[in-house]
Amino acid sequence: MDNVVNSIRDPQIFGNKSLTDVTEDVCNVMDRKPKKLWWIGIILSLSALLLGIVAVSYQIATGIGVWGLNKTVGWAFDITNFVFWVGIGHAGTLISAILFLFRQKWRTSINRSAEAMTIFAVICAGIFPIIHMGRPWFGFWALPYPNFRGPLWVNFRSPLAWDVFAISTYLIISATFWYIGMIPDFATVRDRAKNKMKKFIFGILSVGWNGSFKVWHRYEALYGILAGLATPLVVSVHTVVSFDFATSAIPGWHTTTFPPYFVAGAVFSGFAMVLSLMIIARKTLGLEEYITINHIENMTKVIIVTGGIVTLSYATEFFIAWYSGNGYEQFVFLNRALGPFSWAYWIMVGCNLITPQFFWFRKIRRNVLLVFILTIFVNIGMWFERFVIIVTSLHRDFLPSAWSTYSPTLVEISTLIGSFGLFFTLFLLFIKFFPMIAIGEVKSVLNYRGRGGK
Amino acid sequence: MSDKIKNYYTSFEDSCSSDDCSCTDLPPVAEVEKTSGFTRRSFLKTAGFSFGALFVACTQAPVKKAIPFLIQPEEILPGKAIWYASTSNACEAGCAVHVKNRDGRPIKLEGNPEHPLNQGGLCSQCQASLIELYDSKRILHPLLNGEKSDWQTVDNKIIEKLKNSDKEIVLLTNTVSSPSSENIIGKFKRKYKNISHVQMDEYSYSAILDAHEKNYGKRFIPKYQFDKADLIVSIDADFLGTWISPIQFTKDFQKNRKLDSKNISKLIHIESHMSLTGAKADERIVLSPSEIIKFTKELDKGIQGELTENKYASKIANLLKHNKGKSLVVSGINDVRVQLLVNRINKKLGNINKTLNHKEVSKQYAGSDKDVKVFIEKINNGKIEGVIIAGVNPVYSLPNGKELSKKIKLLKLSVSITDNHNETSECCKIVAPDRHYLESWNDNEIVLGLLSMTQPVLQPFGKNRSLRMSINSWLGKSGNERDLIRNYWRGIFTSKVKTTQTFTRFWNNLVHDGFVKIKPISLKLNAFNDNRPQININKPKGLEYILYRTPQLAFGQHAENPWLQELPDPITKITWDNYVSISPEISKKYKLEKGDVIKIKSGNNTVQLPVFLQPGQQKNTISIALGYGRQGTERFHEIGPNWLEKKPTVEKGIPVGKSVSHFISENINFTGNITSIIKTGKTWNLAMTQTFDSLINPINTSPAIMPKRPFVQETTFKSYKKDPTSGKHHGHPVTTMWKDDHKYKGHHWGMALDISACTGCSSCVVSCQVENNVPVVGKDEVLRKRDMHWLRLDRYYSGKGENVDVSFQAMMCQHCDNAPCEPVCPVLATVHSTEGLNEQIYNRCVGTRFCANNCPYKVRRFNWFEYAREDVMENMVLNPDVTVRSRGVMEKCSMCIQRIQEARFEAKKNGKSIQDGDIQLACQQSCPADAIVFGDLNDPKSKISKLVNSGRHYKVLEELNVRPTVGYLTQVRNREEDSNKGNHHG
Repeated sequence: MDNVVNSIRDPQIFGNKSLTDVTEDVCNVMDRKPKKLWWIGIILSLSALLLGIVAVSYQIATGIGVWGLNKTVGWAFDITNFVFWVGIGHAGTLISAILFLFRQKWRTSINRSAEAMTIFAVICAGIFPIIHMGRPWFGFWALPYPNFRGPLWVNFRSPLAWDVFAISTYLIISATFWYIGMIPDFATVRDRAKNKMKKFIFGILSVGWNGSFKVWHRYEALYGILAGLATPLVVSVHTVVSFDFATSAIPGWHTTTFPPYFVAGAVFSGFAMVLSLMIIARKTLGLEEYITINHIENMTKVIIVTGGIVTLSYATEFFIAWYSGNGYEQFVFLNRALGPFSWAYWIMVGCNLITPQFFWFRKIRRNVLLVFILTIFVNIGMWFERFVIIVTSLHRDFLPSAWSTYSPTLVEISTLIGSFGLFFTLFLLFIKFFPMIAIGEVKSVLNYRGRGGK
Repeated sequence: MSDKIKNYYTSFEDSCSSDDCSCTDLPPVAEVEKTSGFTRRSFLKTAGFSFGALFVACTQAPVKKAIPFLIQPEEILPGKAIWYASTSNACEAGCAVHVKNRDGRPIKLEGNPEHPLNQGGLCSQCQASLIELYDSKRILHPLLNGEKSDWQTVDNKIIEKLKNSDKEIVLLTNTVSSPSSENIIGKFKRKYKNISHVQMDEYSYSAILDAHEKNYGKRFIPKYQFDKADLIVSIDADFLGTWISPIQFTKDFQKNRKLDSKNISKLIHIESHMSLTGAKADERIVLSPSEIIKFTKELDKGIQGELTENKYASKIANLLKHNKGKSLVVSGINDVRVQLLVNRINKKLGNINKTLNHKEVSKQYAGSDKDVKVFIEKINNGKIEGVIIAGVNPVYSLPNGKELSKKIKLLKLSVSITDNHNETSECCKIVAPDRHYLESWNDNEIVLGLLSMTQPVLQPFGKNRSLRMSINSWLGKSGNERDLIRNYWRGIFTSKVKTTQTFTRFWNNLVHDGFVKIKPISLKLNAFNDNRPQININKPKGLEYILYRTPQLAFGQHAENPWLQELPDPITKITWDNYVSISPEISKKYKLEKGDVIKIKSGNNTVQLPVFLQPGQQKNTISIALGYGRQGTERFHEIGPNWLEKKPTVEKGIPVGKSVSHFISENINFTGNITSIIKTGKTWNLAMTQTFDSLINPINTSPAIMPKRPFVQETTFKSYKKDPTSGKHHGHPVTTMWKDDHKYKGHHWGMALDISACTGCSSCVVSCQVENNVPVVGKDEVLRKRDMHWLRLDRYYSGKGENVDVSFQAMMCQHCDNAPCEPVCPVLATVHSTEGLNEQIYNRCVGTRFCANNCPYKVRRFNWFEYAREDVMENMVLNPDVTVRSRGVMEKCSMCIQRIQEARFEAKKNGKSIQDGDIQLACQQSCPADAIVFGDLNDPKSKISKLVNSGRHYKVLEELNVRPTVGYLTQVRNREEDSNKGNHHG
């Protein structure tokens, strides 16, 4: 044993993998016929997606009236889902860009799928601002483009216009980053492919990658630049999303703490979603040796931190409501906790405040099943956080004469289910057809023990 | 009248022959530049635009063919409205209207400001009666046994029956206030000896008439002059809402409530359930119906100088004695004994011919309960051979309507003259369709000595005929209605009209102005014949009930009107239903909650209705609205947008609400005793547009800092006189770095709403709906809180138990100078005008609803669906000046921008600037209380500027620095500071 073995730290990848093992393990997933579990998953996801498509088509054909909104509550499930999905995306960018810049080597086995998750989540999120419009066929009016209407531009003062820029930038940068990162692996797949069709497709996708030193060098440089570009997006996108509320005049929305609060919440929910997905993926695809218990533990630690920030934000909101002496603001927060939507508020508090506290215990952090359950709770809690912010602030604002309530219709619930359907469909197709673990990057963090072949 | 620029045409036939034909009034084609120098620059501009326009025109735009008139009608100019003066026959009050016609279609009704009765105001019912003209379910052909027939057959049949009758034939009509109709009915009676004429009012005022007959020898209703009374004691007379002539009374009432005068009148109202008058009262005394009668008796004692034990009665009697000749006691109780007492009181107080005019008496209601009773007896005993029923629906409105319908079916001759299928027409063999008042001629002497004219504003839709013309045919004559009336007046012209002018001139004036003063007949009243009734009332053991009318549906005459059905009740804010209003005590006792369906029994009468907890309700009284459960309202099954989770407004074949006419007592008394209340266990959804009634937060979520939201600011008259700013909430001053960031160089439109004047009648809501093409959405959508009214009338309660105060606050777009809706729209669909208006651009709106979310007043309305009218014919009522919004688009109050534009063009055409009062918004115009003032804030002499600078002016949510241009004037009640209401605030 002349290889250097770090005896203090656990290895990043378990199972004493050799370079070939890594290639084989990851590529086999793509070559094999999918397991039964995958089929069940894809059928469920596609059914959910179909339900969503039917619901959205019906809504667009009939009118927003098929949602439970009213003259007082103008947003509910639509923007809740939007903010929720945008938030989910943030973990992916954080893992792939920020952790890359901080040279966190453990990120290598999860960054690919986390990034994929980001893109799919942003796709899901991007649908909502379009379908929530009364006339979605004119959605393109929100884009600034030269036109014959004057020319009539978008309103650059509107946070919704900022959203358009934020989300589209985010989608473009993330997709580019994701694709560039996959090129070496596409080349590997291309080289291993026996099927002509597959060879052709991956040949195009890998844009003539030849694995030379020069190519690797350029690749690393580009990857670094993209990571640098993506890093501010982790903060900016959700900050802009929070402006939808923070710049408004409605008590409960009109809050300057929203940007950091939203970003922390986004990372919080994003990591929970990454965990839920990874735990399923490693189990069903047999990748426990790549996505190790240490990965899971690391991510739960991020959840503790961001969960703490979220908790602090909740407390700050109440404190400021009291401290400001603004009666409307005080009412909104008391109404949140004690009013007709208190059930939603307490679900939010229960899931987002209490759940992360379990992760203080190492035993829980390393219990995959418990972590899985707890992350589901975090996801539920974070969905409700957005619901609480949007609906409880709107339903009782200034004039009691306009106070109303809200309950979702079947169409809205179907649309929410449909967005999950879309997300999981895309994710399941991704793990089947793309290398879900960054082969090239994982190879760089292997234990030196296995170096040099079998 | 304001110096509004309108053209009052006389009529179709007269307009061009009359002297003041305004056919030469051309509409402004376009805004003309004042300096018309054509420079090089403007040439280039024009040339550039023309080329641009050419290219744009060459691209898309589907070809829509507008076919011009083959022969251009002389008076119709496209885009130009023609106004006709007329008189509404929507109810017996007979308010004078101006009818706005566009392209031959009436599209809006406005009160005639010069008319001495309604003085420009108009109620919600009259506003809404317009759509009934375009009702495709109207009867437009005579019906014989339910089958379509023609006038020849029907007339022959009727004449034959009339000729060969050997028993009495009754002509049952509503009050006939038309002299020419009276005349022709007289002729009818002379020709067919068996005819007798019975007048009935669906909601009876018979007791007042009978009491006056006993006291003065003549049946009449005096003209109540609320403008001359300093102290008004109203004993359950909802004169601001439903009683006799509410618009006239509201106008008069407001005249003596001008806050700049030394004194204002004081209104004391005694009632059992919350009415509009009770809501406006300075002092409201809550008594059960039986206690009210007892109270009246005690009050009479107090006035006559006898001892009374009742503390309210003695207190009020003393107040009244201090206001001798300046007070007015009225009662809405249809009980001759009570009315006799009221007459005694007024006589003793010396109010006759001071606040109670016995000369120009009202002819609005003349129905007699006694005559109706005799008629019912006769029909039951088989002494009647036939009935001709016009203008009333006795099968619905009489307590024993069901038996009556069976009897009518047995008669040889039964004719119903109506324009809609109703309960009575269903059991009549012949239906002779009546005309809508907008397509017929009529002369009305509503008040002695005042002749008002009704004239047709369009050709009738079908082969329908008014009562007058039907009788004319049955007399064997022919001719047209106009000539009939004209000839009648020509005949009596010299004797009745004190004038030097020619008849043609008189007639033209009459038709042009809509009214003319004539020589009143002297009533020749007897000296007051004192008649003290014996009243012995035993205190009822259980609960009492009271049947009331709502200002929107009255007695169901307009039940088929979608606008009125969706108009929220001003007090309860409930649409599309009637219900049992109960007090919290009853709710506790019977464990009832809002929406629980109960079965009410009174003797043999039962009804099942949902309950509603009404603040201010007498604790042992329940009240139910009349006018619901009308046949024909089953049609509303179809109304509203159709989608997956839609629930119909009414189940198939079920009318809206329940009729409670059978609860009316035999003596046509609208109160009675309840035998039992049974909880059925069923529940019912009541569709309310406002579910929170109080400005105080719900208890468990009430922060210590905000006991009350200061949106309604209130003071007393005394405090106001000391300090005009009294009662105003002194919040934190708004500090801003950008005080004058927006200067409005030209006009700066603003509005002020006087909370003190507003009676909550909701006329403005309908007026806005008609003017701005606001759709009706149906009960399910209202339940989902998606009502579309641009103007909503917020109603807040303060105080507890029976002693609650009610405040109305009309809430619409506040046109904030710092509008929060504007910056959030991503596509610039809502922008600010240079004149301070917040404008919504429908065709740019993509429907993100961010603007509505960010509106602190929540006044924006979203088109959740494509709101098509279920009745396509009703589209004819649409105002062509206002875009019909498609689905997915936000909308809201535009401050009637089309009216502002019209006034601007008119002023420009005349080479003047817009004067204060030139622009009258739809809501403002219809308001009988003159509570809405609109004008230019930049003009220091304008009425609005004066109000803004008066101490009473405040803005809702001013501290948000949204800078609304709509403001409110404090509520001023004429009461002592330390009254028992206990709703003081700092």
